Amino acid sequence: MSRKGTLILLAALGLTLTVAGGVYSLVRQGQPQHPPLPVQTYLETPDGVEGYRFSLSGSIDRQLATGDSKRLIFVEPLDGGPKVPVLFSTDLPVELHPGQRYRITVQARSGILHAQDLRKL
Amino acid sequence: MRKTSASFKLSAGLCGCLLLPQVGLAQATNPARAATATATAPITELGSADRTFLRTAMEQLMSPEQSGAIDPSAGTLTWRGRTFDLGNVRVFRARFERYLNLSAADVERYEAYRGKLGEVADLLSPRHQLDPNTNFGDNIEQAYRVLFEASEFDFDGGNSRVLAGMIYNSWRMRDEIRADNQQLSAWRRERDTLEEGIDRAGRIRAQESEARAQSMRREEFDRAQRAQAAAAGGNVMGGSTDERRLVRKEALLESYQANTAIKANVAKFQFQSQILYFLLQRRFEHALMAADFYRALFRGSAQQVEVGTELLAQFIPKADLVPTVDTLEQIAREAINDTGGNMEAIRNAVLSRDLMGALERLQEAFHLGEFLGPVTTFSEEDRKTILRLYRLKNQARDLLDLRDFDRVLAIVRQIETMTEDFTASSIESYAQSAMRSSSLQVMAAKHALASNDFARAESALGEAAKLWPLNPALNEFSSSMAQQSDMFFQGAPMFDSAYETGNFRALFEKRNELAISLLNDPERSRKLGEAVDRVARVDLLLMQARELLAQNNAYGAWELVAAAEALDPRDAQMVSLKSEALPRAAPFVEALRSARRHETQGNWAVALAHYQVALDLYPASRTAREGLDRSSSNVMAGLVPIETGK
Repeated sequence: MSRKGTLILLAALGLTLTVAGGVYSLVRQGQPQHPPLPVQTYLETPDGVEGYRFSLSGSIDRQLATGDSKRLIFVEPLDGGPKVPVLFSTDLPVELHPGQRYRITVQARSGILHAQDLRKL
Repeated sequence: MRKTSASFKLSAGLCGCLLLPQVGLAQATNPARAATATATAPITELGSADRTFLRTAMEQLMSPEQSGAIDPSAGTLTWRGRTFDLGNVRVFRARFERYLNLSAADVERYEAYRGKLGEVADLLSPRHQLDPNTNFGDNIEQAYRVLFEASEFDFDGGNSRVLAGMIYNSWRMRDEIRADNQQLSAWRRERDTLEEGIDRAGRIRAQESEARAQSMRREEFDRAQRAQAAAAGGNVMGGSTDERRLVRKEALLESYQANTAIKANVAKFQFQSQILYFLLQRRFEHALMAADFYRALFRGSAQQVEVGTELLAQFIPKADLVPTVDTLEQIAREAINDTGGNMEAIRNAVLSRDLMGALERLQEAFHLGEFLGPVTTFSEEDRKTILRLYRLKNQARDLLDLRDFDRVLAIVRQIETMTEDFTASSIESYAQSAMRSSSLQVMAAKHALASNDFARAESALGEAAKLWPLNPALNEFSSSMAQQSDMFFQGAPMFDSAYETGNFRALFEKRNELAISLLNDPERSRKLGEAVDRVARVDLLLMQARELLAQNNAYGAWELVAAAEALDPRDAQMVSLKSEALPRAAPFVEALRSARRHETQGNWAVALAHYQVALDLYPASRTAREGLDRSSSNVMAGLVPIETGK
C-alpha cells in the first residue's frame, strides 16, 4: 500500500472515528443516564429503590409545599403512571411551571424522591 | 330506698291502672287497681259533669224498660198508675225480641177468634137478663160452649178452657150447695117435728104429775119421780130420747149451714181470683169474659172483690175505693183500648220513619198488650225494621256503658240514618269530649312522668282510663311504661354493659328510658348524651351515604361511611352499609388504604402519591385532600439538610 493510500486510509479512519464519536456524544446526550424510575415499585415498596438514582420523564403537575429552600412538586410521568411527589431544591437553575416537561434525575432517600438534575424536554 | 319504693309504686301503679282495665280485673287493695275499677265503674262513680253527659246519652238510647213505665229492679210495668208484674225483665226483653222475630199472626184467623170472644160477650150481656123472651140460663150455657171453641185458637193460649173449667167448678159448687140446702130443709123439718113431740109429751107429763101429787104424800111422790127417771134411761141429768135427738139435730144443722156458706164463698173467691189472675197476666180479653160470667153466675150482692187485697192495693192505688168486678173489667177495657191506640200510632210512626218513637211505643204496647190482637197481627215487615233498630240501640247502650266510644259513634250514626226522630249529636258531643279529655290526661301523665311526678302520673292515667278505657293511647303508654318501669331498675347496669362494649346504638335506641332512669346519675347521663350524639352523627352520615349510593356515587358514599366508621367502628348499620358500598368503590378504597398504610409507616411521600390517586378518582374527596395536606406537611417537616448529590 502506498504512503498516500495509507494517509488517506488513516484520514478516513480518523474521520470515521470523529463522526462516530460525535454521533455517540450526540446520542448519549439525548438518552437518560439512569434507569427510568419504576413508579409502581416505588409506590408499593419504596425501600426497594432506596439510594438509587433514576430518570423520571414527566410534566410538572403542581406544587404541594415549599420550605427550607425546597419545593415539593407532583410530577406526572409521561408514560401515564401515577403522579409522584419530587422534592426540588430551589438552587436548581430553572423555573418550574405546571405543564413543563423535564427529564429529571431523582434519587430516593428516606422514601422521598430528590431531584438532582433535570433537563427540559 | 326511697327511690326503690317510688319505683315500686310506679311499676305497680301505672302498669296496673293501664293494663288491668283491658282485662277487666279490679283489685281494691292497690291504688292503681282501684283506678282500674273506676274504668268500668258505674255512672254514679263518675264526676258530676261526666254523669250528666252520660245520663243524657243513656237517656237517648234508653228503652222503656229503663224508663218510668217499666221498673227493671222491681220487674213491674206501671201503666196509668197501675202496676203489672213482668217477672224477670231480661226474660221479658228476650220475649220482645222473639216477638219482633216472629211472623205476624193471620189477621183473618184472629178476627174469627175475636168473633168467638164477641159472641161470649154478647150472650152474657146484661141486656138479655132483662129481656123476657130470653132464657138467660141458656145464654150462659151457650157462652160456656163457645169458650171451648175459642180455646181452639192459638191466640187463646188455652185460657178460655181455664175459664170454662172455673165456670164448671162454680156450677158443681152450686149443685152441691143446692143439695146441702135440700138436706138442711129436711133436717129442719125433722127438728120441728121433734120439738113438737117433746112439747106435747112434756105437757102430758105435767098433767099426770099434778094428779099424782094430789093423791100421795110428798115423800112418796119424790121416790116415785126418781124411780121413773131411772126407768127412763138411768141418766138423771139428761132429758128424754127425743130431746137428745133434737140437740144433735140442732148441732148438725148449724154445722151444715156453716159448711154451705163456706162453699158459696169459696166458689165466689175462686172466680174473683181467676179474674184478677187474668188481669195480672195481661189476658185482658179473658178478664172481660170472666167478669161477664161472674156477673151472670153470682148474685148482685157478691160483686165486691174480696180476694187479693195486697195485689189490689198495688193494682188499684186508690185503695179507699171499694173494688168490684166492674172495676177489674174497666181496667181490662182501658188496657185493650190503649193498646189498640198505641198500635195505630206505631203504624203511623213507622210510615213517617219516626222509628225511635215507634220502637218505644211498641215496647210499651207489647208489655201491656202482648196477647192482644193489634200486637200479634202487627206487620212482619215493620217488625223487622224495628228489630234492626232495637238491636242497634241495645248494642249502642251496652257499648256506651263500656264507654267504647268509637263503636258507639258508628252505631248511633247508623241509627241516625235509619230514623227521622233521632239525632246523634249529643252522644257524639259527649263521646268526643270524653275521648279528648282522656287523651289530654294521658298527655298529662306523660309530662308528669317526665318530671318524676309519679303520683300525678298515676292519677292522670286513672282519670284517662275512667273516661275512655279503650283509649289506644293508654295501650301504647302502658307498654312504654312497662318497659320504662323495668328500665328504672335496670337502667344503670344496662347502660354500663352497652357502654363498655361500645354498643352506642343500643344506648341510642333506649335513650328516653335511660335518660329518665339516669336522671340522678350525672356521670352516666353525660356519657349517655355523648353516645347519643355520636350515634346521631353516625346516622346523619349514613343517611347521606345512602343517598350518594343511590346516585351511583360510590366513592362519595364510601368516604361518608368511613367518616361514620371513625365515629363508631362497631355500629351495625355502618358495617352493613360499608359492605354494600365496598365493591363499588374498590379502587378508591384501595388507594386510601395504601395511603394510610404508608402514612402509618412514615412513608409520607408514597402516601402522598396514593392520596393523589384517590383524589384523581374522586376529586371531591375530603379524605384525600386532608391526607395530601397532612402528608406533604410531614414530608417537609421530616427533611434534614442533605446535599444535592450528583
